[in-house]
Amino acid sequence: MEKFDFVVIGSGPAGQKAAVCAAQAGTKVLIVERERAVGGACVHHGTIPSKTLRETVVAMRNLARRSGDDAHAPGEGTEVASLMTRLQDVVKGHEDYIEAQLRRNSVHMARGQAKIIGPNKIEIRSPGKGFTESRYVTAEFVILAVGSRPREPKGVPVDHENILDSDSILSLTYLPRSLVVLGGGVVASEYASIFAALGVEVTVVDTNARPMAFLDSDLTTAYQKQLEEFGGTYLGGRKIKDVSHDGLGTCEVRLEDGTVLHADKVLSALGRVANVEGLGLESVGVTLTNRGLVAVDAHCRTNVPYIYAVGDVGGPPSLASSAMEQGRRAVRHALGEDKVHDAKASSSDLPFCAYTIPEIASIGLSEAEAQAKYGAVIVGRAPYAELARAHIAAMDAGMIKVIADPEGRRILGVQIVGENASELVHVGQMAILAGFEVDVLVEATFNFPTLAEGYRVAALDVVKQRDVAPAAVEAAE
Amino acid sequence: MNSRSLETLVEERIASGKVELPVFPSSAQEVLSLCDAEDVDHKKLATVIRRDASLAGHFLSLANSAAFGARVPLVSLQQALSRLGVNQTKRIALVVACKTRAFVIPGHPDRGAEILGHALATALFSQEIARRRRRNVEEAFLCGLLHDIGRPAVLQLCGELMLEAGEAGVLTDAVPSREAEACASRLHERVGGMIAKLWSMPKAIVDVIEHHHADVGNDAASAVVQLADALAHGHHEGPDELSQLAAHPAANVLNFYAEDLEALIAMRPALREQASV
Repeated sequence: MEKFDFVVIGSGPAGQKAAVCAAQAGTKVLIVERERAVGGACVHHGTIPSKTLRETVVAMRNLARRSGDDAHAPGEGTEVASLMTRLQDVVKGHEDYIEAQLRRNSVHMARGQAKIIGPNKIEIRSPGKGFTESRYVTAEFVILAVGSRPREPKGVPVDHENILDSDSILSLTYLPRSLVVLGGGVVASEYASIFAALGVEVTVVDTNARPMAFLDSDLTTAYQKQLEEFGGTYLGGRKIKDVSHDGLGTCEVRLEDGTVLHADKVLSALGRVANVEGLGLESVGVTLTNRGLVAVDAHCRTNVPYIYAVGDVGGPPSLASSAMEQGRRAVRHALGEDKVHDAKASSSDLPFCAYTIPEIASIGLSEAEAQAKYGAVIVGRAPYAELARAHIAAMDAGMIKVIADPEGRRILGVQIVGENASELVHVGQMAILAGFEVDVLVEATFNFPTLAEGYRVAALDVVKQRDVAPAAVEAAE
Repeated sequence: MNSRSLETLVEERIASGKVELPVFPSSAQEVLSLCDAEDVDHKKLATVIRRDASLAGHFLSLANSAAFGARVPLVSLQQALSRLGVNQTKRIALVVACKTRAFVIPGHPDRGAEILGHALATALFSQEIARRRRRNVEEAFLCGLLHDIGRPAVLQLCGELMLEAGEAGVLTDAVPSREAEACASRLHERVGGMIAKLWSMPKAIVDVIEHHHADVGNDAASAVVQLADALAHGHHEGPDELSQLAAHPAANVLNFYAEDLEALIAMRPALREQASV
């Protein structure tokens, strides 16, 4: 039985970074991937494909807006396949990069289903003709990075043809005329805005009164406004009773309030579940949470000391960025190199981005969180309408929001809605990490014309409020 | 006439461009066009279908078959069209075109029906495989349905050539000759591709038809049809089927584990029943 220091199960963002980190520390590492290609759901079903589609849609819209010619705007008759022609190249490029990185770091690779069959013992079963022959290995440490898959709630019979989930929605080769999106989370909101921008009649249904309710309402209002401008509808505060396809041509979504929606297709985006089945976790006593996630401590370690769980299998925030960091930190903890930093960073330490149209990004505390923690915080805003670059690029909607403490000095958070938010947010992240005060953003010189200049506009707004309302600050103290 | 000389004659006929390929019925073509229109006019659709007695008869019969998920009897075209929706209407028009044109072998109706039955079973298996791999289900259905579309055409051409060569027995034989079948096996992908192009099928579907017996390589679309073809034929039915299918290159491309294949094998009785239209 071959011995490894680390066996990493799953090659998505978390597993990949864990394997590389462990190999760079000089240990012998095996990464086991169930699928033919490395990369996990991020590369093959989630992040990379949906962002590729979004990028094309946004580029087409921008061209139409900037040229003032609607002929360039995507709409009815646009084939999804024609928007995804680059996808294979993008996915292949990413796969190749990941595989090369693993090879360069001398990470051993195996394709198959891994199962823990006893303390430190793992069985690897291959697909295809090798299914009768298993490979057995031992590992000093096991890193579970098996990811998650779309949840299939009761009453929503996903058939991947008419009622789709976020794994199968991009298998559509032509645009449906209408789409009901179940759920108001990030994945649901991203796809809702992409398809609405493509001219599909989109109706979003969710129990929350507004989409992505964990974000400040001014951000989600901007998103919802754009969705409605695209012709979409958000039905908040509604519960889904059940969904069916008539076996012929139409999907029916029945809501508990008696409303019945009809659409060509339905997208179910009602959360994800951890891929824990078949891993043999019960054989070594790994504890699961009541939500079916692997229970882990702050270092992503399970109750079985040599087993760690990183990425989606350990629960939120379900971001590739945090999964990668968890992978690295779990390995460093296992090696005794880092007993201090939590692998599971708090959500305010992580940059967040929803690739909706428009993008939404944040770092640090939201306005609501800051108010709850510090009282009368000062919020500076820079609408895109005040930025020359936004005018040039015909970006009519957007805003950078800097949240400062009640004294109007310390930056507590940055929230952005508008194109390029996912990139812009890192300026705010660096300012927070460096401990800069708002005044640094006022005094800094930004390129003109840029969207980043909005930081200065927002910071000036904070300063203006700070200077004219000292009484309010005192009252807050 | 041996199979080699027959094949040479068929090849020559193809090269000369004097092969009569089955034409896509104009009424079925009109149905597809109407279905692609922005606002589908059900009344107009019904009129077009009614105008072609063969299409109308086959349409209702297929609409009521298990293959198309009929739950309540559809007794009128108008009712069928409003219940079926655009996608199923298009599929049925295509199956009718196959049944009435492409899968017709003069003198050998049973063989034509047999090939059509296999095509439909392959289409249904292709759908299920696509579902498991999160690939487009409708495209997989079409690839499965049309993968062997060249076979009846080659068999028909063989019959004509043998007749021209004075082998009159070809008309009275219960089944096409072994030579004709061998010739069809070798040439049906190429001729199938020609028919699919003539029928204006998307390139992705033409590619699968033209290469469904070739080395599957990394081509997942071909792998879907190759595995569906094997499952529909059931050549390996029996205790060794799982290991035989697991060794199939298509199973490797599709990354199917034993449990995936077991689930597909378990579907066979139901899918075969659906395929018997």
